[in-house]
Amino acid sequence: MSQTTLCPNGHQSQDPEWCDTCGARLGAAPAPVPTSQPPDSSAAPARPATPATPAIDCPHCGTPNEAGALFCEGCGYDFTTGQAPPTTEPTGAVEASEPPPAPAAQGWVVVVEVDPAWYELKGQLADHPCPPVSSSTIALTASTALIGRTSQSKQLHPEIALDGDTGVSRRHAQLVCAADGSWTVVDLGSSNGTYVVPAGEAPSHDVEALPVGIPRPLADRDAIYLGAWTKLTVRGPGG
Amino acid sequence: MADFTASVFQNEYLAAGTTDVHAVVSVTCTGAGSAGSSGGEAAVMLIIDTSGSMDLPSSKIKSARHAAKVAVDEVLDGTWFAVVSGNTTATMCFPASTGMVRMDAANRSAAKDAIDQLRPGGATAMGTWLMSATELFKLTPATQRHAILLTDGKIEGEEPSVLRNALQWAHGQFQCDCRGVGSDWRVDELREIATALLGTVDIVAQPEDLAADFEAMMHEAMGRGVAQAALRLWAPQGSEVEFVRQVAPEVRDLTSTATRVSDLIIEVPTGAWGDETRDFHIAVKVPTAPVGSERLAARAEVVVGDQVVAKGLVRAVWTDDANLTTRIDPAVAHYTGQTRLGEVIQEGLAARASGHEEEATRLLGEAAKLAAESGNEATTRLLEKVVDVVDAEAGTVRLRKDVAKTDEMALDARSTKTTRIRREQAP
Repeated sequence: MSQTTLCPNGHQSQDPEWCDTCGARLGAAPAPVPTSQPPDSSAAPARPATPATPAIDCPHCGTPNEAGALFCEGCGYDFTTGQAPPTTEPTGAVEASEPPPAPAAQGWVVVVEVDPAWYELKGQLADHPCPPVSSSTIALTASTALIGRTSQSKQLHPEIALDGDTGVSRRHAQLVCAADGSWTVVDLGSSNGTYVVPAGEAPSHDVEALPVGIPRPLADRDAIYLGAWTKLTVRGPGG
Repeated sequence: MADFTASVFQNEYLAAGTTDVHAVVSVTCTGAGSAGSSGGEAAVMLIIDTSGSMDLPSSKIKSARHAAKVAVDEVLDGTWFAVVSGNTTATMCFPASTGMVRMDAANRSAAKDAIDQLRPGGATAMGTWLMSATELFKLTPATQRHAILLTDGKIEGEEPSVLRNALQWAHGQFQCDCRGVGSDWRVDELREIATALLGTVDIVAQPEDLAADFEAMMHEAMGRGVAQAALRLWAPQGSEVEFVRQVAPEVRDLTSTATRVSDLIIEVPTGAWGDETRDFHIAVKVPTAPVGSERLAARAEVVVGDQVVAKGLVRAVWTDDANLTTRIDPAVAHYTGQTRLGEVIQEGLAARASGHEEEATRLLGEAAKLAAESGNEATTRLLEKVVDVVDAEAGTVRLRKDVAKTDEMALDARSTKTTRIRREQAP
């Protein structure tokens, strides 16, 4: 316990010159400060201690935590039981002080990419070689977004227009935002199918096309593959 | 290793029963080094408007390409880098795939080739561009992240909610300097972005001036060797921090960005630092104390990576001596005036735009008076292009007819730029 000074208003102060609590002048005689910490950083009464070397890294998300912590600061991992936090919650407890989350269907984007790895698997659907890699970001502003190809004659203007990829059907699939703000993708009966690959995994021959008409929930950064080279990634504000 | 110092300017004497304490904390950083040199890595991004209007006239897109390439030359080797082409969507220009790459000779040359391929078409969707930028920065290990956004138009073809969401995503993720070329963009839109993302906003009226501006901005960004510094404020129990605002080199209200560290401590982010001085105006309401007593009204600390690198003490001493209490500290007075100067310019221009000429004349007259009094010559020159100053001391002006739109926008965009207090006024 470091030495403290009693302030005229009855507060115990670690700073010998000014009361930590009310700022009262504590007189000229500075008390010795035996701790190695500078007096000012210890002057914050309710500030959580920040040890120089955090003792445990969370096995779930990798956030450094203090020794003896019950739950991970980062994701809420339970160190006692080893139970992972519920996956429905964004792993962003530290972002709790950020502005409140946007209403459903807002603040999401779709990244549209040419993926040579998918062309390796499905390139035969195209009548020409894989285009150079590219990447575009489109904001999702309504609660649904059509994925397809533009057709002036059919007056079809999909929000996610993949006009270059002839392996994509005109009305191929739809992104739908659920009431809880999460997104699903549903195949609208496309010719060549819609495929979902979990975040971080590469597409392979094993991945199966989504059944037509049945919505598939998407986790943040899950990839949707379709056509001869197209990869779509839905990204939310939490990531 | 960067060295920070903080000095406090205030009149610490308060009349009996009063509670309002004002102080200017002047923070100077020296020896900052270059971006990425202090442990954390640095990342920079160019976001270039390639909407259809950039071709009208085509000098805009040509100058933008040239300016982007000049900026590429300023990026230090090893810095994470990307160029985003912004129109209805945000499309990778360099690299071609989603992500950022480290700058080296090969990437520098490839980036310039890619920039040469930028072609205008489509609408302006800045919210989408900023969302994309946030995602790209997150893919790097860089802790110091800076973007330069260039546009020539206002947001269209994008719901207003997209920008709102984008600023929530981007807040605290990167800093963004915003530039508008020509006169078809909106100062308030770019100011909203720059304010939320701790950046600057300015007009580049002539496309051919873009290159020099981009070079200077990127050079400055590369000279910020301190990735992040925060201003941490302790104030006593029962007190209330009324505002914290940066007041030099430009006014930036930081109050709403404060996060609470503990019951008595708040912290505001100030972004990356190079070798520079910034002044902060702090206002705290403290519980009053009997005449003759003294209390610490605030302790301002500059924090880098959880280390306190400089601190200043703001005091309060209650006295009956009116000679002491009625004096206003010259620095506090100066920056109170500079803050007001920015406000009256913005309000005056808004009044003029909505046809309230009398109101505009009064406000811009006050601006002319404040600018002259404080020796803010840059603002005085900008004002003189919009109004005829009849009597600066009295604040009498006449609105000029046929004002160039770019002059009005320059006055608006630079309204928050302040002058340092003149030396002879310093305490």
